[in-house]
Amino acid sequence: MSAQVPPGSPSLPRRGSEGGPDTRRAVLAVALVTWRAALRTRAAAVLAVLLAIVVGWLPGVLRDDGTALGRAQVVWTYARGLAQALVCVGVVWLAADAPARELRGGPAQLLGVRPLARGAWWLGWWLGVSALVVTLSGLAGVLTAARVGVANLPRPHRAIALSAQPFTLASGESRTWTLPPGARGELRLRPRCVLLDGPVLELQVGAHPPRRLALRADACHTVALGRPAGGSLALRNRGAETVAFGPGDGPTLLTPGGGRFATWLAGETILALQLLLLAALGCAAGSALSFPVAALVGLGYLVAAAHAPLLVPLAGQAGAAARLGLALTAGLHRWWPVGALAEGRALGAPELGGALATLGPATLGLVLLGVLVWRARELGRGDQP
Amino acid sequence: MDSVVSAEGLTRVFRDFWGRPRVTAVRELSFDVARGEVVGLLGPNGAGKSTTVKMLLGLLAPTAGRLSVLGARPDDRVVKARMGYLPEESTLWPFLTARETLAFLGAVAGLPREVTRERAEQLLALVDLLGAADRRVGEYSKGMARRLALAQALLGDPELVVLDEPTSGLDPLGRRDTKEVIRALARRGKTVLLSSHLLGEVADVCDRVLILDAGRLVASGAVRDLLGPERDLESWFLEVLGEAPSRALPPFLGGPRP
Repeated sequence: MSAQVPPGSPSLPRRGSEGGPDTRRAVLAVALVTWRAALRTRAAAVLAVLLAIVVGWLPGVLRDDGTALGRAQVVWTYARGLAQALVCVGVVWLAADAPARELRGGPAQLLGVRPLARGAWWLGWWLGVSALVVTLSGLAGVLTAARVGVANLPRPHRAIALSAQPFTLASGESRTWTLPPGARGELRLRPRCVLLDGPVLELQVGAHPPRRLALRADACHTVALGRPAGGSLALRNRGAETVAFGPGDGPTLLTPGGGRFATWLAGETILALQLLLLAALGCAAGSALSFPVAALVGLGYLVAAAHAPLLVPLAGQAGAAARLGLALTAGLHRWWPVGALAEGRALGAPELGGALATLGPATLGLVLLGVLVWRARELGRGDQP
Repeated sequence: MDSVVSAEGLTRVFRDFWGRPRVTAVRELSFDVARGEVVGLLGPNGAGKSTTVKMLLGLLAPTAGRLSVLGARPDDRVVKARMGYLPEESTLWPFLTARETLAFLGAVAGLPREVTRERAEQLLALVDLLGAADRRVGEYSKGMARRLALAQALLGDPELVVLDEPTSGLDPLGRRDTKEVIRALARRGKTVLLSSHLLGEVADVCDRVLILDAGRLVASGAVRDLLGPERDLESWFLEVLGEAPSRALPPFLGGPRP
């Protein structure tokens, strides 16, 4: 080491004294280091290998019904679903580790003595982790779509349930519903009856002549409506046995709802929105807690979100904080779009808007919470909160 | 006197999870550091040196008292742009190379890219790491990491340099060179606050020393006034703190049996 101290540049602008350093550059610098941390500590590599196995190998061992449609549905549901579940675990892990690692190892002190706004620092972590996992998720989506062939997936539709409540049709009994003007597409039915075999149900749409439907019990049937129909839809039981329809099993109008590619793109966008929320949750937890506890909080949230349909009915008995938590988990569950493409449910502007309206404020709230916690955090205490 | 650091009644109490006081690390500490001074902060383990340093840097908040660094609160971003810090442990990012480390720290400090690049090369030459500048820090020896930590502390051309055990983990050559760097900084009018256990090192480079014990300032003085033909810094240090009772080995290691 030579002892010639490099001369400081007298003309160097002290940007800290002129309103602080370039915040955007600082955020990007922290985000880049977060990327490097994930890539060079092999966390991202492990995640990428797992995704490659799920997308590359899993479709080859999945069983299907032998049709192109069935195969596309099975592969998309399991391969894309599992890949996204892995990314969700990965994002929680990486995001919780980003602040916790710097506190634990001590580099937080080196940044804490620099004129870096805590908010910019936190945003750098969040954006770095988010960009990484959104990239991985997008790659998994593109590769699975290429493997399945998006054209093989069912044509997207929008479902309008004509009868949400369960009902029965006794022998000779009929029911009538009003169709929306210009209704077209298909009608879906799922009758339940022990002896239902053969053309016992009669369907009449508007002024068209009635037709007998050959239906099997406990199977989902779709019936083309034919020309744009309006007016009414009547269903009559011509058999001897009572036919029952469970909740959601009654006549449901399926109208064409955009292209497959548009639905795929909307689904991937909603998945990316979910990852932004999870990254914010992980970073916020890692800002307040040590890594194992923060990771546990994130994973616990994912488990709760997966079980949201079981938990949501409890919301009425819960306190305000628990209700907020349940609303967040339900939001993540409700906007899980992997099944939509496999089932042919259309995703478009209304769904994107709905997901944004649910996930956006939750993400923003977590970002604000994380920044506030990080601003209040004493960096001289290591990872002890 | 133009004070760069001014502390008055500085106190720091560490509390447990429930907010109950656990340890009072620093009590009623008052001192000043003038511009251009090289001041040594001395004291036995647990004296409160690191806590004091972290309060000066805005990494810990004082429980009570007043603290001014470069004329403002230490957590002021304007002040932070004018400080450099070498932590006690070389806590760097093990997955970054030395060049990437300095480029990153320059970016978050708001230094222009060209300036950061130019300074990084000069500092890597200063700490003799140009040959290893593109190796990851995780592959460095402790001494190399220490030298890089010193380089990052000087990246912003700071007015106040805080060095916590700067020669820890360095070989004799590295220790000598680090002391030369501190002297060179002093010649350029920088203010240096040095926390160290190595009294010889402090005597070599410091103008003044402060001795802390159990969180309190127990003595201070100019080094040239304290040293004499019959007294070195170590004897003064022991005089101030009192001789510790000699400790015998435990019986299982051959010490006397009670």
